[in-house]
Amino acid sequence: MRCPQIERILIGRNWEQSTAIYAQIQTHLKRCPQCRRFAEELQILRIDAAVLAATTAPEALSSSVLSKCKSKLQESIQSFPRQIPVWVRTCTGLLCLLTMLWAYPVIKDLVTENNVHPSTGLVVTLVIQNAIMLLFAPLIIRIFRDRAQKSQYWFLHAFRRN
Amino acid sequence: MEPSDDELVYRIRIHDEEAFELLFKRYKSMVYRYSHYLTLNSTEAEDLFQDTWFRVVKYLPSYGKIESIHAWICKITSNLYRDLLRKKKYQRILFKDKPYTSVTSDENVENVVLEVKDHGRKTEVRIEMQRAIALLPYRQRQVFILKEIEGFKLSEIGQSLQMPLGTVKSLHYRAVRHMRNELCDLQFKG
Repeated sequence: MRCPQIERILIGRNWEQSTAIYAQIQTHLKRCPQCRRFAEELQILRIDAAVLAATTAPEALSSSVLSKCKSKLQESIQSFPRQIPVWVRTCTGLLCLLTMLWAYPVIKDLVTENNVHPSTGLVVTLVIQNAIMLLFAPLIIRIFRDRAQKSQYWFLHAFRRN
Repeated sequence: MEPSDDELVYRIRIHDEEAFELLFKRYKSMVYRYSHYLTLNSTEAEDLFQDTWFRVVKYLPSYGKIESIHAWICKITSNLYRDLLRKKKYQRILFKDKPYTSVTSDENVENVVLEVKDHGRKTEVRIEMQRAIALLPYRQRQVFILKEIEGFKLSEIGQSLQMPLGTVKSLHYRAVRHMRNELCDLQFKG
């Protein structure tokens, strides 16, 4: 291995994991004073960098920031819709009712005239109902998400509150 | 037993204040150090520290999957610092202010040393290290702080700074070489 390659490996820090590379580096360091000096300097640099890692956040600053953050978190809870809005529940109920009313005569005709089993009719109803719900779902979700401050975890919150 | 980062994130997402406090205590020093060594100015570092945590509160509940929370927090700090630099640049252009002094200028390096003395940390190593960090180019400085001071993995640095792994490796190599050259005298004095 050449000196620039050794330098890169020493800086990379993951050379100790491979025994083959470790042995090669040790051999190189024994015969190359320049790289040996580089390795020593690098070690000192890392020790010095560890000195800087002892810096901590000032207590006054952290406590003030923490209290502000907590109040912000509290505000976001207060403005959070705690349950599904009444208008969404009403609309969903109406949709279900309309679907059933609309599907009922069709199913009745099918049952009386073509001799279709009622369970088939029920499945058809459910399919239609789900199709309508899916049609409106993006709109409902978008409105709800905007109101819930774009939170996609609203359901977790709703479970926790209940 | 201390809760894991993932658990804390999950709890914060359901607006658990206690979990946020734990996360804050766990990473406050990291955020402060990163802000401090990036800006090399106490006032700016405090502003950056505060804004970072405000953003964490605002976006953590609605953010998608987070692989590493400390890398994500550092990403916020880096973005805020980049905005700060941009703002300074625009101020200079718009208001024809005095020329923008990057932290690599001699004047700022002196400020760094004075601030350190004000805080009572007069060790030569610390001062020289800060002086050398101040002389590093912006991107090298980010990588050096995260790798050598905070002990991040290179992949995490890539996530934080939105850089490919190769770029991170190269910046780290150049930063270490730069620091070594700057600190050569100090090492051989000691």
